[in-house]
Order: sequence, then C-alpha cells, then structure tokens
Amino acid sequence: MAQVVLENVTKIYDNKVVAVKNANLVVEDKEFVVLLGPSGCGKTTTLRMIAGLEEVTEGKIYIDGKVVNDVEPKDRDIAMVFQNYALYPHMTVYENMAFGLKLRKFPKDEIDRRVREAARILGIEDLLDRKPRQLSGGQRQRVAVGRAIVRNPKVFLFDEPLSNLDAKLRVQMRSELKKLHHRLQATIIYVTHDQVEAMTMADKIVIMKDGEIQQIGTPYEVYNNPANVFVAGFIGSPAMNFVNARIVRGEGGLWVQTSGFKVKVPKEFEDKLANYIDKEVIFGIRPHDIYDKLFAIAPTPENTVFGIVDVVEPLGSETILHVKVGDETIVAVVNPKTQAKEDQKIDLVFDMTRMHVFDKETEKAII
Amino acid sequence: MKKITPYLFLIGPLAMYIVWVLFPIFHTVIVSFTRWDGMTKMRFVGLQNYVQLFRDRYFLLSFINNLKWMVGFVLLSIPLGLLFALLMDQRFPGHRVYKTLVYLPMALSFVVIGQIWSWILEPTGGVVNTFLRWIGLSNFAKSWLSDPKVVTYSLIWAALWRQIPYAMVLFLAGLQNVNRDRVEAAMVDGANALQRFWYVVLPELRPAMVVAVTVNVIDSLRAFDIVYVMTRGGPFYSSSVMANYMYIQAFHNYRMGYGAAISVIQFLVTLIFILIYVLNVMKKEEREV
Repeated sequence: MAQVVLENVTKIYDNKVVAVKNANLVVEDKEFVVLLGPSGCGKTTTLRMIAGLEEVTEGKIYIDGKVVNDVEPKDRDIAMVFQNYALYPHMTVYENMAFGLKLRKFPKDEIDRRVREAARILGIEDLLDRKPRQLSGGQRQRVAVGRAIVRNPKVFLFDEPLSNLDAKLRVQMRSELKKLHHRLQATIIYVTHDQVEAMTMADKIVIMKDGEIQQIGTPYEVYNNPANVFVAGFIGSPAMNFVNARIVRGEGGLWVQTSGFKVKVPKEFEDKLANYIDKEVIFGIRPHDIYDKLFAIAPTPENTVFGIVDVVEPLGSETILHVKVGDETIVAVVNPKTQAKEDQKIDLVFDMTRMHVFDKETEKAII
Repeated sequence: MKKITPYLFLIGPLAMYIVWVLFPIFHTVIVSFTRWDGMTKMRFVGLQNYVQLFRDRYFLLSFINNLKWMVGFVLLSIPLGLLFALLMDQRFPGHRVYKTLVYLPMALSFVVIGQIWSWILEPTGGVVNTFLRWIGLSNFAKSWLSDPKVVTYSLIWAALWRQIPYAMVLFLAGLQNVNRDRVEAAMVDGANALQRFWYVVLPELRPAMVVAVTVNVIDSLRAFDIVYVMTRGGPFYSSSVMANYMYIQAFHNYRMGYGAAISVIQFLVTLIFILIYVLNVMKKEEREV
C-alpha cells in the first residue's frame, strides 16, 4: 500500500489542448480519494497519468516516494478498473482474474488461491468458468474488480466503474466498494462525475474543472465550505442559489442587498466582509437552508424574504419550491406539509448562518 | 400480401442467380461427363474425362501448383498483411500516404500487375536482376519466368503484391474494432507489447482472420489472370494452374468436356477447403457461446 503524490502535473495534448493544468495532490496511504468533475474536466486524464497510460507533459508523479513518470504501467504496481470493464472476452472469469498473475509468473497454486479468495470476497465463485458475455453488467463489474484485487497492488484506480450499471445496482455496488476498501485497506483513486458516489464513498474529494483542481477536501468540507462558485454549484442537489448582491451597511450592521430582497448578515461574518462594503458580490444559499416561514424555527424580519411561488415539486419526503423573488428565481427545499400553491405568495426564511458570499471577480469564497 | 412481399422482391435476384450461377454450375457438371468440341453434338462418355484427368501429369502438376499458391498465399499474405496493418495502425506521421501506397496495387487489375511484374522480372534489363548484379549477387540473377524451377514462385510473388494489401485492409478494419481499454487493461496487468498482441489483439482479430484466410484460399485456387498474362502456364506447363489448364483444354484444344471436368474438380477442392475452415470456425464459436 502506498502514498501517491502529484506535483505540478500538467498534461498538454498535441502541443495545444491543456487537459490538466498544474495539479497538486497528495493521496495518503489507505485513503479513498475521488476525482470529481463534469466531463472534460481532466479527471480521467489525471487517473490515466497515474496509471501510466498517458505521458506527463510537465511535473512529477510519485508512488511510494518514487518518481514514476517514466515507469511502464506494468511496473507501477497499480491495478485499474475500467468504465466498460475491459474484460478479455475469450477468457473465462478465472482466466481473466489470473491473467495478471500468470504474466508475472506466479506459481499455479498461488494464482489459484488468490483467484478463489477474490471470487469469494466478491461472491462470484459460481461464475469462474463462464465467459464475460455470459455475465450481467453487475457480474462483469465484480470480475473487473476481482481482476484488480488478486494482484494486491499498491494503488487501485477506478475509472467511472459504476456508470454503466442501472441505478439500483449502482447503489448496491457503491456500498460494496466502500466495504471492500475497509477490508483491503487499500489506497484507492476513483474517478466519477456523480457527486453522490463521491460524497458517499470518498475520504477526500478532488473537484476538477477545465483541467484545474478547484478544491480538495472531505465530503463535509466541500459541501459546507466550497472554495468557489463552481464547487458550490456542483456539489449539492438541487444546486445552490446564486444571486448578484451588494453588501451594504444598514440598521444594526451589514446587510445583503439584492434587486429583490434584503437580508441581514450575522455578526460572526461581518469581519470577513469588511473589505466588501458597497461592493458587488455573489450571494449563495443552499435550497436546504431555506424554510417555509410556517415551519421555520426563528423567523425574523431580518431573514425573511417575500416571493411568489412559481413551481411546486412534491417529492414526498420534502417539497421543492421555485419561488420568484424580484427578478430572481430562488429554489427552496421545504417541509412537505407546506401550504404553498403555484402563483400564491410565500414568505421564505433564510438560515443566514449558512449563507455563502463569493467575490464577483474571482468567484472565490469570502464566506 | 405482406407475407409474399419479401419473396416478390427476391424473384429478380433469384432468377438472375439461377440463370447466371446455378445453371452454369449444373451445366458444367453435365458437360464434364461428355466429349464435346463446343460445336458438334455432345457425346456422353461417363467418367472417362475424370479417369483421364488423374492420369494427366500436366493436370496433376497444375493441381500441385495450386497447392503451392495456397500455401504461399496463406503463409505470406496473412502474416505480412497483418504486419503491415499493425504498422499502419501506429498512426506515425504520414501513415495515410504509406497506407495509400501499400494499398495501391489493390486498385490495379491482375492483368496490369502481371504486365508490371513481367517487366520487373525481365532477365536482362529487369529491375530485380539489375539490382542483384549491382549489389554483387549476379549468381542469384535468374530467368525468373522461364526457369521451370522458380517460375511458379515468381508468379505467386507477383500475385502477393496485390494479395498482401488486401489482407492488410481486412486486418486494418479488424484493428479498428479492437477495444483500446482491453489493450490498456493488459498493459496494467503486466503484458508486454508481444503479450498484448498475442493475448488481447489477436483473439479480437479472429473474424478478420477468418475472412482473410477464406479469401486467400479461394483466390489461390482460382488463380488464373496473372498466370495467363505472364507465362500462359509455361514453360512446359511448369507454372500451370488448374484454371489455366482448363482454359487451354477448353478453348485452345476445344475439349469442352475435359475442361468442364477440370472445373468441377477445382470447384470441389475449393469447396472442401472452405467447408473445413467454416465448420472449424462455427464449432469454435459454438463452444464460446
């Protein structure tokens, strides 16, 4: 097991397309790290550089303290699980899993022991004599994982391994992979565009966009303290509300003033906003931090916003409201017992202790 | 009405198939049991043509030459075609130009190729002998097309000039379908380039291999144009092949019955090889499903 370090890693294709820009990342031993981002953000390229399937244009990659830039994939002691499983179609499940060990000239009985052990862990002992085409998607996924774990590598790399599975199976495999990580005590680097996968499985999430790392943090950190507008909007569903605003000094302290409403900044945030008084900022608040006034704990005139309900989406456990406030539409996730009806008035209460403010120019988080 | 519509569409092609393919085959089989000069009345002679064939040393020579063609085609055009395909698939700078150059002979008819190679192999001023003398190997310079010992191999080589790119194209198409992820999975699994080719790429090329081998076997057994253009089967039938011998017997010597018998044998031999191969492939596929 091992630590993986990326030091100023850059990947440029054909001398022009920058796929990954100056990435710095430390993956600790036994850590489950998820690279998360929309398609084309460079997360898969980053993973493939760690695997050795792509050359690094600039910077260094270390595995276990050693620079591996010029080390062949087969000599990096890594295992990779591919999105479409990449099983060898003419080999049985057993042969697929044994292939890497056979090439590394392991003794036959050792190969047999490891393959059967992995098959037992993954519950595919009955399938060892089958060919990949005789397996379901979920079974193939297990074989692909089995092929990785028999090798007992330093690092596991997963490239969107669950995206070809149906929703139900995905949830199941998610928890199984998490259990597997505990059991193997392995270093795992996992690429996905699905924030739920990232939030549920990761020890640490690396959020990427346009080839650049936006933020590295625990699921809690990236959700509660997003580093910038992109992370704030990408993590969490429904997405955070963003409203152009101005910080103004008013009655009893600082206020957030927008075209449609005015809410008071809690005292604890005033220091951070000292340099932004009378300046344009982006105000952000998550739908889950907005309440229907009827069900709010501490409604005051200072945190209440008036609007007209545009759309009501009852989900059973909660209800999503799209509310017109001035020129803006605010999304709120409220108590399902809400009386809100379309085209009627509503009072929304913002939990201002959970508000976010971003610099208008840099889009970096101020609060 | 709906049920017969497909058959209505089939009437045209089927009629043509019967008139142009099935009937000639059937008719050839009939003719092969007769003595006929193509003009006077056919005379039924039973198996006499076939009996005579197996005593005809020139026919046997032609048959053996066909087998040489087959071995040459399968053993050379398949591996070399595959090699070229693998090279072209590397996408080195200018690979399109090379691909086109290698592919070019495919666009030429065998008659043209035969003519070109007749010049190349010409004993006194031909490129091959000139080159051999130039590098000091004049001992190896030969009368490529009039020495009975080498003439068949010269013809096979000329035919390969077109056959190799054909195989290359088949394999290039096959390589397009090779799953990149599997090759990369094998890289991570620890396979070197040769092992990746052997364990991952080659098995995926099997459909292309089936087509390439089948086509080459058929082409080798029906070889005719190159032989006809370059040597007419000579000298002394030493480069003759079945199709060529049939043509001479039927249309030069006016022995239609005898020529038909040669055609029937040629047809059956081809059928045997194809059946062996197709059955073998089908069995393999069955095992894998």
